[in-house]
Amino acid sequence: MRKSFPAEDLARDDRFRRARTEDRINDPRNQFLPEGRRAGRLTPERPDAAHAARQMMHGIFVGEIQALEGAGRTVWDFDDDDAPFALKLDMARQCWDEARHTEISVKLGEWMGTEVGEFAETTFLYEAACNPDPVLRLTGVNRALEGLAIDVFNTMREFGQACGDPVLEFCEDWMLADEVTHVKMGSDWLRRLTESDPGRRERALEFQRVVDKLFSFRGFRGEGDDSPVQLARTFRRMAGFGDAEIDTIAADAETDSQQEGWKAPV
Amino acid sequence: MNVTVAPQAFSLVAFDAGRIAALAAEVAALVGVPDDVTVEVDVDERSPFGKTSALVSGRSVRLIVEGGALEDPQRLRQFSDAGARLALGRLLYRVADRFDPAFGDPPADADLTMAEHAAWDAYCLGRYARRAGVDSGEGRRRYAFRIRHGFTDAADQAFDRLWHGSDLTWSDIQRVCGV
Repeated sequence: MRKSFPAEDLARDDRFRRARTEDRINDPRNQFLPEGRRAGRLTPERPDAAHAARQMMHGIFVGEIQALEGAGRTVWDFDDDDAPFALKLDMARQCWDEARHTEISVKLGEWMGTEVGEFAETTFLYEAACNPDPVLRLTGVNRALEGLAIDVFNTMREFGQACGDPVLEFCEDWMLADEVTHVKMGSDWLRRLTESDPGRRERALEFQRVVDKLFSFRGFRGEGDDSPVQLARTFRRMAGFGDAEIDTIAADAETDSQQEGWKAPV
Repeated sequence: MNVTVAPQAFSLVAFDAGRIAALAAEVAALVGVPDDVTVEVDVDERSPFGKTSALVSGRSVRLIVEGGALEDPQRLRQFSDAGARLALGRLLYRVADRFDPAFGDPPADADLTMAEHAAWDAYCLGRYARRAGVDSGEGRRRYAFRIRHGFTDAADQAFDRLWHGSDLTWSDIQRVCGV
């Protein structure tokens, strides 16, 4: 079995259709979106709330598959010299969580009236899990990607709460608890693996910052009212993020959202 | 039926004005919009969002559609025949209701509450599914309805009455909305 599997070769059945992230970013319609016509925070007050929530739920579903694939690759791609066995055991446990999340997400999709593959899938989450350095990959997956998962799950949990959907609120709350654990795991391993190599830790955190900027995606995630996904500060703190780190993510997201051609995927 | 589409040519999305006009005429006939009505479909290809509305003035109808409403959710900027049929079916059933004196006198689309939108959409798409013999997304419409009317057995029963209903009136829809 080959190592460092490329995103374009990920296995999907014929219900799925792949979209390229660059096509979304370069969509010529982006330039025409007027100020004030952004998708906005995901709340029941949005006229397109149901559609936006279904679309985000489908994004979570494919994100869970990619998180499973990313954590799974880490178990296989590195030998014990590159990554300690205990780290890979943690990744294997995480795979179990991600597989369960995938099943929950499919059922939540059905609950909301969505079919598997109804929306196109981009693979930018998995692409963050392809770094050949296990420490950088760990930060990409367990701090950036899983950190985004904390933000998304909390956003969906609050949406479920606000519109009185008990199933959505309950499921998101349980998955959110797992994501906090995954990020905590990433924070702990990053500290342990780079204890005697501050330069590597710095490179890992810089890589994480690059990935986080990509995930904030011109305002997709942030603290402004026009960001569909809100930065979940409390849960991030529980997961081992420092306030300065969260401030940096928020500031980067704010800067990025001001760029022309903004378009949230939801 | 006279159907026109604006713009005549699209540059940002892979849509075809002739195809949209043909679909609009077909769906309008299917849902019972009177033959002498003229329909203008105004597509904003610059918008990836899916907002739609219909304006009725005398025997003229103007459908205002953001491009995202006709777009394939799996393929960026590509037209979806099935999606367009559903969007047009929903809009044109509303138009047909507005032309039906027995239906009553609903407010203009812009003045409808979100709860009224969800209820009338359920009634339109339930009929469209039966008339066209297609899956018009009962599950996703039920979810949209629940967001506006509550996640309760009573709301589900109201949705079922709308989805499976026929010959309902604006007053029936308002009753569902608690008006």
